[in-house]
Amino acid sequence: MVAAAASSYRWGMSTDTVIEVADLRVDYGTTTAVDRTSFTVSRGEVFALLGTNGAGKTTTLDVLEGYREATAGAASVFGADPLRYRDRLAPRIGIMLQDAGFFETLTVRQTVTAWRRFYRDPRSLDEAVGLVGLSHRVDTRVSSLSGGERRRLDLALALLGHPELLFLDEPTTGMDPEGRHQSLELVAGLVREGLTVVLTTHYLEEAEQLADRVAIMHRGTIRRMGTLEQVRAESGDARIGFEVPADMVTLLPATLQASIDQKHGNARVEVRDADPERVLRQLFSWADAHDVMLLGLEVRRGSLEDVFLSLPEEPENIGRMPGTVPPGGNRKGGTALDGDRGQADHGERADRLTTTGARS
Amino acid sequence: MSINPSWPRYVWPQVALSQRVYWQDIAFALVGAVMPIAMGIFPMVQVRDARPLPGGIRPIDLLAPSGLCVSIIWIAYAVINSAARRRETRTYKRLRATPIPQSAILVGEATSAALPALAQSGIVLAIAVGYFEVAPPVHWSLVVTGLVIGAITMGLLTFGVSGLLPSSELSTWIVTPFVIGMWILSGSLTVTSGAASTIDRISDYLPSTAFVQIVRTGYIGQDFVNHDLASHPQLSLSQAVDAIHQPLGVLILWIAVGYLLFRTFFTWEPRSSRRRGRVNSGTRGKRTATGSGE
Repeated sequence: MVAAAASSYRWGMSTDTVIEVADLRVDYGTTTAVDRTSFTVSRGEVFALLGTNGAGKTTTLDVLEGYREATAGAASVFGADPLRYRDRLAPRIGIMLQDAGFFETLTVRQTVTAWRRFYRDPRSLDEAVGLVGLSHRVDTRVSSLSGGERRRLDLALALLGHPELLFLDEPTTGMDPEGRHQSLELVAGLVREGLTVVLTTHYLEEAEQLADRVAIMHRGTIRRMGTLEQVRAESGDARIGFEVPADMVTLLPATLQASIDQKHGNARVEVRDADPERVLRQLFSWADAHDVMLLGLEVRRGSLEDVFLSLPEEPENIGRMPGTVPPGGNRKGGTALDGDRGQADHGERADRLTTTGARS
Repeated sequence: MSINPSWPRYVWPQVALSQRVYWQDIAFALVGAVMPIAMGIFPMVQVRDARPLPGGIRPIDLLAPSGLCVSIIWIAYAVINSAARRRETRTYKRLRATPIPQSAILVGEATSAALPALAQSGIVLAIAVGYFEVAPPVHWSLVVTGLVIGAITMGLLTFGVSGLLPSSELSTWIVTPFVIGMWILSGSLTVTSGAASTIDRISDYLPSTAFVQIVRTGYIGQDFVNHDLASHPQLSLSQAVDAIHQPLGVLILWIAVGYLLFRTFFTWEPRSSRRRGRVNSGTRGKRTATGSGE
């Protein structure tokens, strides 16, 4: 279906499917960066691709943005092959790139003015810089902007042409918390007006804040995909944590699947269970019976972080989306693109994924 | 890549952007603005009082037309700098995130380099005619044709070669000897005896020599392609067009070489990621419409 759609460009297609990706594979020489990846994105939806550096997110986006050719499989945007019909698709698309440069000697005003000439009905300069909170920096040279301000300018350029589809590649990297909040609010507002967004990020709270559906990529393949609730549910259990005196640990109900970390005479207990209410009732009964306080009691549902961190524990062929295979398959040289990607271990993921505010 | 009917409307915004960026680096811009004019005029200064050659033509009359061509040779500098730098800083990638077609980016960049060059040719011409009292061109159309085809050749060749060069800083140094060599061998610097040496014969096949021959033949209205400096019959426009078939062929050949180099080596991405893109294209056995091979 995708191949057929990609073979001709259908202007004004009525379908609600904006993006279709089917069995996409992208090789860099003997290295497979993306392998048999399939997903669709509907109009007005925010779809987040999550993963560590080198998971294949940006490569997937490169194909959808028309920068790179698929080695195998098919991708269509608005029913068209994004590489072949890039020029016609481009006015409908906004792209916020992760690593593209600016003309450093130009001011913000000059940059936006120059970029406006590339669009038929662009936002005004004032509107564009106002949207992203750069009005006060409009006569500042790009070379003097902070990292976060450059990302804001990036976003302003991506939104210049009133896009129907917005690609955001690590949109808030380098932004301060306020800038991040403002940018996400801006995007959320545009989504309410009907904008479709494909987002890649390793800030999980961004996905949790914005995304209708998420896909978690690892080593080039999608390992989990669905609504936030669906994906969280796959992480399984809720977490119930508390502290008790160390000498009480042995008295805990034997039915609890608890992990225990003892420190300074106290024990931090974490129980993972799909039915947190049952566990809590059991715990409160136990605490009453032993006259023990459950210090620092907290209950949280499974988060994207939990889902993500659970991936390396799985064998390669478990937890993968239907139709996918181990990255690189059995081909020779199915190793990491950037040398370390394939070696990404549990600890590395924890380092690279930021989870501020991710827990609820 | 599909054909975009609104393609031309994107070229001028790119030209305007490239020009603005070019003039922001004022030191580089001034060097680029002044040097071709100086290099075009300098040989005329050297021979302004020299006696006529055996055929009766003054050396300054020969060097004025070739002086117009120096700025065309200099297009290589402007193109190589913009191509290498934009690729290195991934500015090309940002430009490609807009609706501007990829081909319009390149044509805009090349036009941005060529327009000042043509203006510089005009200045050299004005100085030659106004100050050195050289007669104006006999066949204007041939002069303009030579300059424009020369500009296209240099632009395409340089874009093609830029894919082979390592970085923007090194590119300038690598290109400089070739530019100087083409300048000297084109006959723009000195008037040689007319006795064809081996180097002269080789230089006939350089793009710079070819467009100098076309411009010189058109400017003076005499055949300097098939005859040496001592014997140069007057030509009508049609005869002049007929006389330049060899250098025109040479330029067309170089345009083909430039296009081949461009299709084979030009990439939008920096060197670090270029290998991946090229290998990828090779694996598929086909390239993107722009030949970027990504």
